[in-house]
Parts: sequence; C-alpha cells; structure tokens
Amino acid sequence: MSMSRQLSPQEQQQLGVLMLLVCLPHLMMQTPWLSGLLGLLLLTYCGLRPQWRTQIPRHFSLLLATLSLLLVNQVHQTLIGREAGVAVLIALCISKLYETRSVRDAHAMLLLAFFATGISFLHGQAPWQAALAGLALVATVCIALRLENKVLTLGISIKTAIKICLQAIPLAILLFILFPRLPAPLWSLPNETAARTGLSGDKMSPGSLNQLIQDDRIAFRAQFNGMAPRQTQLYWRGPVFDQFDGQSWLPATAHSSNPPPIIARGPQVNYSITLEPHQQNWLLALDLPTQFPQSAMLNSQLQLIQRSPISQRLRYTASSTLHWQTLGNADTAAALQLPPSLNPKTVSLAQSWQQQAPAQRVQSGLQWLKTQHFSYTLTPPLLEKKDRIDEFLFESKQGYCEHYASAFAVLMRAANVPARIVTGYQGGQFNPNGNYYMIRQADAHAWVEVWLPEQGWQRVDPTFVVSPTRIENGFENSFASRLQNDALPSLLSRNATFIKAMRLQLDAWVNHWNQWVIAYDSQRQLNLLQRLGINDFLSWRFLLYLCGGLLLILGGFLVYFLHRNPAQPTDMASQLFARYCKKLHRYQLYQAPHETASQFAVRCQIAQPELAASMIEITNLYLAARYAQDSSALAQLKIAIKRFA
Amino acid sequence: MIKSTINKPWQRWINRRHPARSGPQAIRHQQLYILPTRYGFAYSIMVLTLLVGALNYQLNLGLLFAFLLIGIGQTVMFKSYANLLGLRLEALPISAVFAGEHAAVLIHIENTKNISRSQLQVSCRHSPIAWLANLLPWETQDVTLRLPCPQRGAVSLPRLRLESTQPMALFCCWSYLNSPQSLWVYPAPEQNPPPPPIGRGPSIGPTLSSSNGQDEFNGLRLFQRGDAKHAIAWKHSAHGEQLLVKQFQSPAGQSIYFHWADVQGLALEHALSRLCAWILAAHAREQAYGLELPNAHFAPASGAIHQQRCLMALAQFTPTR
Repeated sequence: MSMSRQLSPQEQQQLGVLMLLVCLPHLMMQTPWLSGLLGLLLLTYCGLRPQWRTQIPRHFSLLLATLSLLLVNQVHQTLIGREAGVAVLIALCISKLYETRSVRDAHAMLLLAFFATGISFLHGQAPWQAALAGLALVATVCIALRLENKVLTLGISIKTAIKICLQAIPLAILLFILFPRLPAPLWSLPNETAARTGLSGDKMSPGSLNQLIQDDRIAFRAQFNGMAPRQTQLYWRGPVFDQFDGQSWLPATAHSSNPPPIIARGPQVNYSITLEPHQQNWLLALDLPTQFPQSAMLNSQLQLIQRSPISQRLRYTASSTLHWQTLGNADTAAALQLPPSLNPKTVSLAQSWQQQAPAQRVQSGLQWLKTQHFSYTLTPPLLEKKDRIDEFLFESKQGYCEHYASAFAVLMRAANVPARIVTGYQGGQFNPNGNYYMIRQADAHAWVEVWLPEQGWQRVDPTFVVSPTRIENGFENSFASRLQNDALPSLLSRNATFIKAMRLQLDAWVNHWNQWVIAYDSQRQLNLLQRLGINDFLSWRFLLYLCGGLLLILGGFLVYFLHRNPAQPTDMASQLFARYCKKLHRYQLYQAPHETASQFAVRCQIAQPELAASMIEITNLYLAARYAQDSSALAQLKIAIKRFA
Repeated sequence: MIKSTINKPWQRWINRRHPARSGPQAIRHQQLYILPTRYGFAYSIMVLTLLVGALNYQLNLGLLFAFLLIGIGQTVMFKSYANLLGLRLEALPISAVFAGEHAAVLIHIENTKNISRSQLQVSCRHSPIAWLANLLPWETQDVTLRLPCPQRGAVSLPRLRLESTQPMALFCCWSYLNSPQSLWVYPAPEQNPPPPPIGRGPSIGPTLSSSNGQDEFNGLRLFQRGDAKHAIAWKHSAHGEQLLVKQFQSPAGQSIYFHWADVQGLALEHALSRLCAWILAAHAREQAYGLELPNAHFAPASGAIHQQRCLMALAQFTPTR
C-alpha cells in the first residue's frame, strides 16, 4: 500500500462539503469579508466541474495558502494568538483541500476536520455550538467510513457514523468526569480583546443603557439559599460613577483607600451567581455585599472588582445585607464635584433646600420629582442643550432610569449632599424550573447613592418615585403590556404563557448545561469526586474508579462486538446435522460450503464405506426432517445421530 | 543479519500459533493481531493536541470532544477486530502450473456470523493482493490469489495473510493461515523447440514400465467421474481425502519416445523444458508418446492423464549422479 488510491471526483466533492460544514462555526466568527472570501473558495471547490477538480495545478494551492495567510495577517495584524491562529488554520485547510488527490491527502483532510471542529469551541460553548460540532463530528466520521469502503451507501454510512459516535459516549463521559483538570493554564493566554457586553464600567450617560434595554441576553443567574428578598430589594450593584462632566458620568479616579466599614442592619442573604463573561473586571452582588469570593475585593466605592477581566463564565457565592450603615466620611470633595456654571436652574432649585437637614433635602428632592409630572419612557426626546440637566428637569420631563439618576445626583450635589451614581441591574425573572433568577441585560438600571451623616452611603432610587411599577413588578410587567413595541425583547413583549413557560424551561436547561458541562472545572470536579470518596487523584480509590470504569466499558464492548450472533443454525434439523458433521471431523471429513448434504454423503461413503449405511440413513432422515417437515423423521434423526460412531 | 536473527524465532512463533491444518480454519482471538496504522498514529497525535489545548484553554466542550474522539478510536478498534474474528478460511487444492506461470490459489472465506464483513484483503509473499469488498452475514465467497511460480518442482503454499483496515483505516487487523496445500510446477515448455528425433524405441526393457514396481505412485491417479468402481484403489484411498484409481498401462502402438539421452547435452532445466515442450506438442497432435528418464519410464500412451503423469515426472525430476 505504498501508493495510495486516487480519489474520485465525488469523494473530492464530499470532502469539500465536509470542510464547508466544519469551517462554518469559524467563518461565522471572522471578519465578514475574510470569511466571505474563504467561504467563497470552499463553495467554488464544491461546485467545480469534476474533471477540473482533478486538474488543479499543485502550485495553485501553494499560491492560495500564501495569499490567504497574507489576508489573515492583514486582518489580524498577526498570525499567532487565538483568533489569528484559528484563521490561519482554516486558511491552510482550504488551501490543502485544493490539492487533495489521493486517499492519503483525504486522511490529512479528515484529521484537520476533526481538529477544526475541536477548536471551534474557542468561539464559545453554547448548546447550539455543541450541536453544530456534533453534526460536524458525525459528518466527518461518515466521510471517513465512505472513503475506506466504497460499497457503503450514504444512508448506511450515516447510520454507522451515528452509531460509532454514540458508542464513543460512555468512554467520553467517564473520562470527562474523572480526567484531572488543570487549576490554571499551562501557558498564559494571549490577551484577546473580546467584545465587551452589558454595562459599561467606563462611562455612563443618558442613552448608554438604551441599547441594553433591548437586549434580552442573560447577564447572570442568581440562586438564593433560603428566602429570596422581595423584587423591590433586588438591586444588583455594579459599576459606580462619581465624576460628572456635564454630559456623562465617569468612574472615580483610582483610590487606594480601603472601603468604609459596613455594619449590617438586617439579616444576611446568601446566594450564588453565575456570571456570563462580560470582559470587564467588576462582579455583581446584591446591594450591599458583605462576603464575596477571595479573588475579588471591595474598593472604596463599595464596588466589587477583580484583578483580571471576566472572560469565562464565572460562578461564585456571596452574602449581602439589605439594610446597612457605612462608617467613615465620604470623600466629600469628589462626591460634591459639579462642572462649574452649568445647569443654573437646577442649582438654584437645590439651593432652596439648603436650610434643611441632609436627609430632609433628599426627601424634598424626591418629593419635587413626584409632583412635577415626570414620566417614564423608553423613547425620551433627545437632550441637546448645554445645560442637559436643566433641559431634562424643566423642559422635557421624560426619560428613564439614567436620566433620573443623573439628574437626581446633580440635584443632590447642588444641595450639598454627597451623591454618586450606581449602575447595575434591578429585579430579575424567577425561573421556577430551576429555582433561580435570570437577570437579563434588559434589567440594567441606574440609581443614586447619597451620603448621610448618621447612616453613611444609602441607596435612593429616583426612578422608583417616578414609576413605582418599574421597580415593583419588574421591567417586563411594567412595560410589556403598555408598549406593544417591537423594539422590546421578545420575551418581554409576549404574554403567551406557554411560550413563557417554554422559555423558562429552556433557560433552566441552559443553566444546567452551563453549570455541569461548561463550568465543570477543577473545583467542581473535586467536589464531585469527594462525594464519591475520592480526595486525591493519586489515591487508590481514584485509580479503582478509573480502571473499574474503563474495564466495565471495554468489557461491555468486548461482549457486544465479539460474542454476539455466533453461528447458530436456526432449525432443529440443521442443529442435529451440524452435530453429525462435527462427529465426521474425526474421519477428516468436512462438509464443503458448496456441498449439499447428499453430495457430502456420497463423498463420505467412499471415504468410510463401513459407515455408509448409517450415513445414508442419517442423510435421508435429515432431508425428510428439514425439507419435508417430517416430525417423526426428526426424532429418528436424533437417535441415529446419537448412535453414530 | 540482525533481521534474520529476530525474524527466525518470530516466524517459528507465528507458525506455532497457526498450525497447518487441512479443512476450514476459523480465526480465533489468539490468531488475530491488531496495530494502529500510520494514519491511526496521526489521529492519536491530533487527539492529544486537542486534549492539551482544551485543558489549557479550560474548554470543557473541547475536552469532551477530545474524549469523544478517543471513544471513537476505541469503537473503531473493536469494529476492526470484529471484522475478522470468526471468519473461516480454507485454501482449496491448487492445480499444477508450468514454471513462470501464476498458480491460481482459490481461498474460501466463510462468514459465520450475523454481521457483514468488508474490505478483506488476502495476500501472501510474492503475490498481489486479492480483495473482497463485502461479505454478507452467513455468506461464503472465494478469492483468488495469483501466486507466481518461477521454478520447477513442488511449491508449498506460503503463509497467507488476511488483513483489513476497516472501518476507518485507523487500525490494521490481520491474521495468518498456514495451509498444507502444495502444488507442482512443471518445467516451462521451451519456445520453438527442435522437433524430437523419430524412430527410436525404448532404450531399455520391455514396453511396460520397468520402474512400475518400484514407484507405486506411478500406478495411481486421482479419481475422476466415470471411472469404473472396481478400479478404485480403496486401500490407498483410505489414507487421504482423495479417491485414487489404479492406472493400467497399455502397450505402445504408433508412438514416439522421448529419451533423456536426446536432451542430455543440455543444461538440466533446459533439457526438462525441451521434453516438456515435446510432450505438449505430442499431446496437441493426439499422438501416443513415451517418456524415458534415468529414474522413470512411461510406456507410450496418450490422453490427459498420461500427459499429467509425464509432466509430473519432469516436475519431480532430480538428476542422479
């Protein structure tokens, strides 16, 4: 087999289609024009005339490889790293496809197809991506089978491929559960700037949350140990902003100081959060966190941050208190900062409350909002004037949480009450199927924190004053019925209960998938193994489970594959005759496969004339029992064979 | 040197595991070998790379995928093994050929299980591979190996190798079959031989074969349909599977004799080739002919049996010193 077989044009086409399927998840993630170009190359190959496909000059694929590498370099400015590396691999796969001639080349293509499917999870590990990879796996196995056995029809090869993949599952699951995970990467991951999602930690200006309101992707899921707080208390604290430049709010300049001490004034709430990767370094916690994972820290703004951006789904447990008091002084200079000579009407309104106590000033502000006929809308008029806050408070009077938070914070600062903006999420949808809350990007919210002399930093939500239903019933209920607006997320805009139930069920599955498949890391593995009594990967018990499981699976397959359906003649007469034939082996007489019983008998009689009589008898009885369905002959046959020497 | 020192015990070991037996031989576990192919090794390296990558990037689905590929490898290994296990092989008797020709070795392959076997290849040393694309459950098929026979004499069937890389060419599974079958190779007939000298009678003895009494085998031939029952040599036949028939020789009529002396000046093989060519020519003319060799003597006769006996004598011939 030194020379491998040349591929037929059909086989080349099948390989082309396979590569199209395998490259699909990668092409979807690349720059559109690069993936368009590569996809076009693949389609061209599949659509080429059969005789042309065999006549592509060798140099062409080399040229193709060089060109596509240049393109990739143009797009990614490098050929290494995660994204660029994947693009290089795909480009080379496609170039190689153009010079696939022999079975050997096809073998290389198949290995590349397996590999490309395996690394498609670099782009994400959602269930649909897993399904696509499963499809690609079956297709690759199917083409591999057809390549080796041209007799197979498409239907049979697909069926066999599915069967092979299913038979691979037991071993895969055993290894998946028991194979030791690395607690930390072997080599450091190159820094990738993946797209950030969700709340921004950089800047908050009216309109920045507007994009999020229409985004019904899950931001995180939260599960409470014990009683969950009421909906109006579910303020999930995220980035804090305390610098206002007249238009937008910016985060505090770096403070090295420790957070002010927190004194809990209510029961502690324990919960765990599964945070979707958002590529930023803050975590979310229920306002106000008292216990949190060790990898995170609370900064002076009482914001939970982590050193590195969250690039993978993260699960952590935390505790919070719903009522609190913070000690120490506010950084009043920072918390009272306002851009000079802006919003004169606002400032003069606030200064009219100067005589009151700070807590009273906050109440006056809220009262003012309540009585001035503000309305909560997702489509407020654009604010274009220099004095944005004045324009909002005294002219348009329409807006949503960001407008209210921003305006209220300015109002408080002008009234000499330290204030800042806190963004995060409010509320969440309870999923009874999994007993957890789903918090979507659409639940993004902004509120104000003010510093009062006795209590420290306290939450004030001006949106609640303007539109209490927004907070009490959650965003979905307060808006979905009123605004049959297509811009709203589909989950929020539809009231059909069965669709809602279905979606809840679906999300429960996704949650299980995330927790047990995607987030099955070294920690969870250790927890699971400890439940099985395994404390260490080097312990004899671990080896016992591993080897025992392997033996069980391999043994099962051994029995299944090798000992099923042994030669077993179906009817009694044939069984008896088989016994007779076995007895004849003693005389070096073997029935040839092409020989009928009578022909065999003639040969036997000549070889063993002294047994001829009984041989004739047995053969005649066998023929009668087998073909004439003579039951008495069967009984006689049994006796005759027993007596046969 | 080193190769032969390793090879010899290896061959002996293989032969011990595959004793030459007549009749169909079932392939059992002990007689089946399996190793990854080069493609299989490449596959395992690919899976390992994927595994390390997925471990490093902490991609659980990537890990699961790599484990699935390992599982597929394991399934394919079992399938590959099951593809050959339990097959029954038998090499059928091989008819004699002339030197330089290819002997057709017919091999019965019997599937005794309820699974289809595919892409079986049978080969032996010096012979091109014989393929069998598909063997349905309970089916029996024949493959023919073309065994080159360059030299005169007895050739025992070399060890046969049954091999398959199904279903995905990741593993090569094979077994051997040693068969007691052997075949005779007649000398190659000389191209354009000079005409045989005419008119010489037997140089020694009477017209009946003088060596008849010494060489019993000369008087027996294989049973053929239409032979008289009384001609069967029961006693001899009882030793083997084949029926033998007593051969009676008729006195020579209008006949020619081919003498060893006629070709004595030639080299041994050349001489035998010329005798062979003469015999074939005479047979084609349906002329009775006799053959006289230093150690064997055939009275003039004609017919296929006679020709076969004469050619056999040439095939077996060893010069006496």
